[in-house]
Amino acid sequence: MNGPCKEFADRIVDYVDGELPQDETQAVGRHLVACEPCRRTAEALNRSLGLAKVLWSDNLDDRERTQAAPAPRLYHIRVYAVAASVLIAASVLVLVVGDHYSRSSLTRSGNVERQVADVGAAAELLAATQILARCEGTEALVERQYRFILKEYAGTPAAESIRTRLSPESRRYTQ
Amino acid sequence: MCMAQECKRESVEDADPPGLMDVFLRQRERLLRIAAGMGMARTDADDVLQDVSIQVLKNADRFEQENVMTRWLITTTVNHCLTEHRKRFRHKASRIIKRRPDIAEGLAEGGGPDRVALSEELEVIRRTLAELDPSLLLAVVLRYFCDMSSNEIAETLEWNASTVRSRLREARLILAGKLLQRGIEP
Repeated sequence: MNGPCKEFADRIVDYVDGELPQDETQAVGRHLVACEPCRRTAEALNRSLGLAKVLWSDNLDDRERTQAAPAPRLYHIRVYAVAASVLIAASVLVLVVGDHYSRSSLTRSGNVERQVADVGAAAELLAATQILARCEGTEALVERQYRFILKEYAGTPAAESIRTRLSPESRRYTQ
Repeated sequence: MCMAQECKRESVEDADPPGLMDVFLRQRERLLRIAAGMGMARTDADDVLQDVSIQVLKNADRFEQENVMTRWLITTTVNHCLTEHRKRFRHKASRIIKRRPDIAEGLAEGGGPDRVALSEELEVIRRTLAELDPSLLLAVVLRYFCDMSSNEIAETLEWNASTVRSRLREARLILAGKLLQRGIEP
């Protein structure tokens, strides 16, 4: 790269700054038309000063200090939206599945508890009826009690025990 | 001399000359520009002026003439900037372009270079300014960023007028030369 002509270098600076007398301004202007290295130097002088002013102005500008945190970019917002959607969907899934399982387990648990309660109640009734059966004159009452156990607690061991003990005639109550 | 003129003359003579703090407060904006021109970011420039203000308090009775005070304030500010050399011109060009897209748009008007080329050119100038001799840098900052004429600079800093012009030319040619070495985008 060729630099500016030595005899013109300093005057080119004054020329671009507009600090040359009229006659010298014209002389330098004519030279710049003819000399490319000097012309390019003149361009570089103007451009470098413009860039320096950008740097100085940027230093003076307190935008960086006062500026809030940069706004999130669009793709960040999208990522956040997708992540939030997945999180919400996962939460809903957990709630639905959890509710289903808890309901099933509660149902099963309720059935067992009811069955246990039925077996216990039938056993108590049967024991009380057997004590009653030992007393005289209670046949009709005992029979009615058996029928009640057979009807209300059909699936219990107490009902099964009554069925095996009753005569074929009595079994018709269970049918 | 009429009564009114006499009263005015007396009041001017009786007025206290400005103190160093008065001159400092009056020159504060210019000192801030000088600090920015020497490469300090705004927050660092504010810190520099804070330090200078302490020096002003310490030297409040040292000077009598305003031009001497101004010269002292400028040289003190420049010296404080130079002692904080690690903070000077620390914002890289790419960061500036990224933060200030308006700069790229402004410089690209009229068929200027693209963003990448502009960033490279700006980086060349940033490094050159950071390495420039402080006396050359001060001359260009006062002339082109503080809009002082060569004569004003000469009077303020007590430099010879020809010295100011020669420093300005030298600094400008160094900056332009570095840009030409890199290659100017058409």
